[in-house]
Amino acid sequence: MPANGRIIRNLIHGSDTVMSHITHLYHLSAADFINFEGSVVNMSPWLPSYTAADMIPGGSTLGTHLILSYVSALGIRRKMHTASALFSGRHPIQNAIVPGGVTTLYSSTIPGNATTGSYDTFGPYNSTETKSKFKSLLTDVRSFIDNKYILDVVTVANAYSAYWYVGTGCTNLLSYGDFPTDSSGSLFLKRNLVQLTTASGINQGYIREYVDYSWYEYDALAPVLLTTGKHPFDGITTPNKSTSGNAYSWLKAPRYLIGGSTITTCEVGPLARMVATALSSTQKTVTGTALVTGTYNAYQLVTTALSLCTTSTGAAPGLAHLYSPLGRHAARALEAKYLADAMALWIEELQPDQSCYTYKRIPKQISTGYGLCEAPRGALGHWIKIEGRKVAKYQCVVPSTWNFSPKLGILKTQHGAVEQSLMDTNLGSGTSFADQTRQIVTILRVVHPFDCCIACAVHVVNPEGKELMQFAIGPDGRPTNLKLSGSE
Amino acid sequence: MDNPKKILILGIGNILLKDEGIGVRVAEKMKEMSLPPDVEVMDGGTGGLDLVYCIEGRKKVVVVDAVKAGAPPGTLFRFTDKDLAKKKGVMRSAHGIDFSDVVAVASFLKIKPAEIVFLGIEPEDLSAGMELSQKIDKMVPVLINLVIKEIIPDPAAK
Repeated sequence: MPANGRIIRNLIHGSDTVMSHITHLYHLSAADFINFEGSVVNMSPWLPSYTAADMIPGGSTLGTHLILSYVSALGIRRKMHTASALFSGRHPIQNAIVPGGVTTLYSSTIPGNATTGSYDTFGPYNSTETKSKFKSLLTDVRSFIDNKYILDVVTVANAYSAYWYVGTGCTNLLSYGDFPTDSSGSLFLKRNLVQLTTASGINQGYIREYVDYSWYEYDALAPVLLTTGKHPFDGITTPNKSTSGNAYSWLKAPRYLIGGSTITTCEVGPLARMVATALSSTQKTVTGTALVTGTYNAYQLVTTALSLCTTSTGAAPGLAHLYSPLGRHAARALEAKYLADAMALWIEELQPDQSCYTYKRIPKQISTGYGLCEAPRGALGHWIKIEGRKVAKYQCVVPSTWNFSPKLGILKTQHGAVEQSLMDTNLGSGTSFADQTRQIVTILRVVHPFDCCIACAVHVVNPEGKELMQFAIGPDGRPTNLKLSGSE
Repeated sequence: MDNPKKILILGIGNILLKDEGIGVRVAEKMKEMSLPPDVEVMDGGTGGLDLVYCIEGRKKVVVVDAVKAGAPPGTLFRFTDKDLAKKKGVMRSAHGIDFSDVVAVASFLKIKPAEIVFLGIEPEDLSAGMELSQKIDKMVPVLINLVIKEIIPDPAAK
C-alpha cells in the first residue's frame, strides 16, 4: 500500500477513535456520576436522573463544570468528524477505506474552494487546503482533550477513588494493535497479550469461539452440553433458540488459547491497547503541548496521568489499578491524547499528488485471509474465505463479543470479561429504594467503561400508547380513524 | 448559525433491514428531483447524534422513517416533535441513540428547528436485506407526495 494510503487510513481511523472516546465519556457515561436534577439541563431525557447519594449534584460548581464540558464535547466530536470527512468524504460510516488503500485523492491541483474559509463549506479541497483545515480542527480537539477531557476524568476519579478497587475483572488484556507507522508493518498501538503487567506476543491461530452458553449450535445432529471451540476460519453461526439448554446469551464466547492450550478470557479495548503499548520496548514517541509537554511515549503518558490521581490510601494508583472502572475511563482518555498528538505528526508526512491506493485483484484460486485491527471498543478480527472470486465464508469476532461474552464453565476465571468484573464488585446489602439505586448505579459504573456495543442501530421512532391514533393518515394526508392493535 | 437551505428533508433508517430503510429510499429518490432552492434532501442513515448538526439552522425538518406502532403494514403516520413521548433516562449506548435524543439535544442547545414533522410508515418486513418489501415499496410515491405537501403548501389551502 502506498504511504499516503496508510497515513490517510490512520487519520480517518484515528479521528473516529478519538471522536468515539469523547462521546463515550460525556454523552454515554456522565449520567453515571452526575445527578441532572437542578442542573441547566432540567429536561427529558436527562430527567428523571438516577439520584444515588454519592452522585455529583448537577447544580453544584463541579456538576455545572462537567455539564459545560458535556456541551462542548458535542461540538468537538463534530469537529473530529469533519476532520475525518476531509479525507473520507463522509463520516460517520465512512466508506473510503478499501483493500489497497483509500479512495481519497490528495491532489494539489483540485480546483480549490479556499475563499469560503469555513469548514462547513464542502470541498473539493486541494491538498494544501485539506491539510490546513485538518490541522485547524485537530488543534481544537487536542486542546479539548488536554484541557477538559483528561482533567475531567482525573477530577471524577479523585471524587470516586473507591472505583480503583472494584470491577477488576480477568486481568488478561488482548490487543491486536493498529495504526501502522511504516511499510514494514510497525504498529503505533502494539499487538500484545498482557497478563496483569507482563506482555507477550499473540498468534491469531489461538483464537477460539465457544457456544456452551450461547443461543447457537455447532452441530445440530449431535448437540453436546460442552462444545469444542472453533477457530473463526471454521466458525459456524447457526442460531438455536431452544430454551431447554444452558444458553443465556446471543454472544458467542471468544477465548484465547495461551500456548495453544490454556483457554483464557481476555478483555479488549483502550485499556488493553494502552497497557500493551506502554509495556512495549518499541513504543513510539509523539509531541504533546499540555499535560505531558514535549516528546513522550505511552508509558510516560500513563504514569504522568496516574500521578495526578489519588487512591483511597492517599497514594497514586499504579499500573495494576488500571484494571478498574476508573482505569478503563483513564486509558480511553489517554489513548485519545496519544492518538490525537500522533495525528498531528502523521498529517505532516502526507505527500501531495502521490498515490493513495494500489489495485488489489481478487484471487482466482480458493483463498483465505484475515484482518486484525482495533475498533474504538477493542480488538476486531475478520476471517474470510474466497471461492470462485466470491465470498464463501465470513466470520467476525468483534470487541464487545470478547468483553460481554458468556461463561464456559463454573469457575470464575471461565466467565466473560464483564461478568468477572461484576463478580469483583461488592454491591452492598439492603433493599430500600436508596440501596437499590446505589446498586444499579454501581453496576452501570462498572459496565459502562467497557463501552457496550451489543445493540444494533435500529431507530424506529415509537411514540407511546393511544396517542398513535391521532397520527395515522391516509394517502391524501388526512387523519384516519384507524384502530391500532394494543390500543383502546 | 443559519443554513440557507431552510427546509431539510431527512430520510433516516437502516437500509440493511429492508423496510427500516424506507426513509433513506425516499431521500434517494427525492435527491434527483427538481426541488425549490431552499430545500435540501439528506440521507441521514443511522447517523445518531451527528444528526443534531444536520438539523441546526433549519426552519423546518421533514423526517421520513419507519414507525413500528403495531398498525397494519403500510399505515402512514404524521406527527411532530411535540408528540414524541418523553423518554426516561439518557443515552446509554452509541448504538442506542434514536431521533428523539437528537431532538432533545438540539432543544437543549437551542438550535432546534421551529418545525419538525415526522412522516412515518408502518413496516412490513424488518429482516436482513436491502430491498423494501413489495407492499412498502409501492408506498414510496405516496410518501414522496406527502413530503412535497409539507414543503410546498397547497396554494388553495390559504
